[in-house]
Amino acid sequence: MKINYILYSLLIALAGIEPSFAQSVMLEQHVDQDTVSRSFGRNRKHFAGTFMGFGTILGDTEGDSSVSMRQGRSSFFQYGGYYKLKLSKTFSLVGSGSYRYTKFDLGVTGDQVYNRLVTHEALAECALRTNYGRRGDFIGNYLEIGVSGDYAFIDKNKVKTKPDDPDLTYQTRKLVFSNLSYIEKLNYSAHVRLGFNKWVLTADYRLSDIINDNNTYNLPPMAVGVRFDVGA
Amino acid sequence: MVRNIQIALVGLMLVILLPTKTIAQENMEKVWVFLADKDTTQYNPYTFLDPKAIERRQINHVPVFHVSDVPVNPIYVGQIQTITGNIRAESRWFNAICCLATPQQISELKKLAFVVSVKTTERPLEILVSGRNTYQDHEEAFVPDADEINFLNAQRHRMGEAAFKKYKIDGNGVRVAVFDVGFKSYKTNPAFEHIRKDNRIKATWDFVKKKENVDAGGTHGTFVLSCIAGRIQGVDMGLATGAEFLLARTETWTEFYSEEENWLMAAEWADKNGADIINSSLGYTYHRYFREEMDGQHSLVAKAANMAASKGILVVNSAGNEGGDKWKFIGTPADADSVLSIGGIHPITGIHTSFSSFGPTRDKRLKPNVTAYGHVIGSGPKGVSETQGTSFSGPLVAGFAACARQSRPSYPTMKLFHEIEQSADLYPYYDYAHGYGVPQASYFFRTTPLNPAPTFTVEEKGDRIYIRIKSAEKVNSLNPADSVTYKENGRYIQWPDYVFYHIENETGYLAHYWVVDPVGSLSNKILEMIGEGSDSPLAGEGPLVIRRSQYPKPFTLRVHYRGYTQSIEIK
Repeated sequence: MKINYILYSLLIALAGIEPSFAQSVMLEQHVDQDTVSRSFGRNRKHFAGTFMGFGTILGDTEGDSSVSMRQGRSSFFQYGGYYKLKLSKTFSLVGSGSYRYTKFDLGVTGDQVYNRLVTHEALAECALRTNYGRRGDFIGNYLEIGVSGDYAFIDKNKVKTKPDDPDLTYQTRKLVFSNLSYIEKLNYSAHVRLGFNKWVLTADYRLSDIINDNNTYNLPPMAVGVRFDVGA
Repeated sequence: MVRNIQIALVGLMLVILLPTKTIAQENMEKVWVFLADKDTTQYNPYTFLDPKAIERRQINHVPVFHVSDVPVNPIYVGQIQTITGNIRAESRWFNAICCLATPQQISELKKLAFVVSVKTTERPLEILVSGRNTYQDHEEAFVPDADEINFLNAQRHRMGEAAFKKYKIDGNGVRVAVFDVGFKSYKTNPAFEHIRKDNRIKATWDFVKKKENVDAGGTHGTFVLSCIAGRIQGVDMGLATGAEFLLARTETWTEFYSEEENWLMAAEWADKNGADIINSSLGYTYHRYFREEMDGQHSLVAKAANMAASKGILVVNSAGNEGGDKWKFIGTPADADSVLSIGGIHPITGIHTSFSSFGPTRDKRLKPNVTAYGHVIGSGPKGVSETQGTSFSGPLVAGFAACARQSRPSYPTMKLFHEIEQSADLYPYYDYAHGYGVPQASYFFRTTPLNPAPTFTVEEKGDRIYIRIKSAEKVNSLNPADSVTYKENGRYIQWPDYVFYHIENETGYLAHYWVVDPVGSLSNKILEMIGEGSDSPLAGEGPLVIRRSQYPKPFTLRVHYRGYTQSIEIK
């Protein structure tokens, strides 16, 4: 009983003390911290950000005419980060690392539903960016020309068939071939980018053959797409 | 073959994607051509300038004849036109001509004997980007509902409208130039019927299309004009319902990509046509500038604004809507020294609204100068509706300034500028979110200066300084005039019952500032308790604690609470 009384008194005392040292801050600004000069920013010496992109593969296969592409169905998705070093008002160097998923949709034969070559790649790019027009702390409009190398750490050939045979115990069959011997793991490309602030139009041209010499055809080297900055 | 086609496709894509203007205009650059002299022999200020412009110069002790007012020499204009084939703008203030020119034409221009220099300027791509000053085009009729009427009353009452009303001050005889994106429906909008009826829109000019009609472009200017002088169903929307207007369209779409030279041209036009006040609800920030360039010296538009001020025009400019963004600080021309920059407050919280840009300028000058509601009821082509942005704080104060000008007709403009600052309800306290506070009409009719009784005491104990707030009842008894209602139908018409304090370093700028609720209640109860004003049960019990060792000495701790400001020098 006595302990309860003491605790109760203590609580009341604490309750009385607490508000006497309290203030609810409705607005606080630390001007010195806010006005420090920065070297990091969209149009400053250093900038880094992340991006996301997607697009389509243009053109048909080369070589063996029996292997073709299903037009408009091949695509890629890319996600990565980049660093920009500003050299002058006009020129910057850009380096980036990213992951890319590419799907080549090949022409189908017989009972095939689809026949796809899929690669998961790690990319490294470097480029020279040329900005146009005066701008503030703003990415602005630019043309970027560069080269990239990619390594396909996963490659697969996915084939789905739908045989027209009522005696079969299945309706469709999906075959996945991995670690394909005819895929070159390491490839290199040239690219141009046309940027409008956070939005970028991309065009990549693969300079190496993704299908090695064991085959008589090659996949189209041209990919165009759209990329946008996700955030700094 | 296939590869050739693909290479052709890449080329085609690049051609399509390259800015078409660049190709079409053969690599032309926009340049300002600065000229050596003027022909003053034909110039007569009394025929060139509006009589009100002459009167303004006399009030401001500005020479009626000044070479900067003389138009650009037409012979020089003709020669530059011959070389470039185009003239985009002429500036008599800067004795310069803006045009598009190829590198070869620039070389030719530089060889002209009367050309001092040729400076390239930006020619931005005209990309449409939506601005932050969004408003809602509702379908409401031009009949405000009960809450909208309450809102309209609050946005005027916050500036102490009653005093102006008492002395029948409504901006009569004061000419206000409004620069904006367009003024759709101003010819038919019921909110301006009283202005049209008295033929008080004195001139209009579209600096984008080079024509007279400004009933085009956008509705932002319509809302802005309504906040200066609108009247709907007998309810005033701004304070200057009796003023005269010059309407200029200077913006192509949003404030971001429009042309600064339009602003300069409009300012010269407003000067010539006798404007007393310019209201400009625009600002340029990161698209064109860096934060460190916000010093009132870099941008053309800041130089133009300062030039307008030197001609005796009071330039009122919104601070900007970057308060919640990375940029955070004011844009230009709000950074110009002679521009009255206006921040925004929220009617419901009563203090700085999140989007309102903060000061100071890069060189640590106070901006914004004063504040007003950043959330308002305005009138657009489709009716009245709520809208937000410092775009609307500016015109509320422009309306106030027109009334201040009417009540102080003989004051030079910079004196009036400082009077407006001093009329604000935090003065002499200030911070970089609220400036000196919200200007108050009563200041202009006060016969004796306010001498508020202390509302708090300062106690120093060891390393600590205690600010002890006096109880609300005590404050009310000390300053009966101040003990009025904080809110009107849920919107603050005075500062909430908060303490404002800052640390000013020895060079005279603020290092740190706060607005605090001294009660220390739970945040979700703050508004409710403040809504009860002096009934706060904990008032008088909450000392604020500031550790003196936190800041390099010497510094000044300045505290404001309910009209009373005290400075404590810490050495």
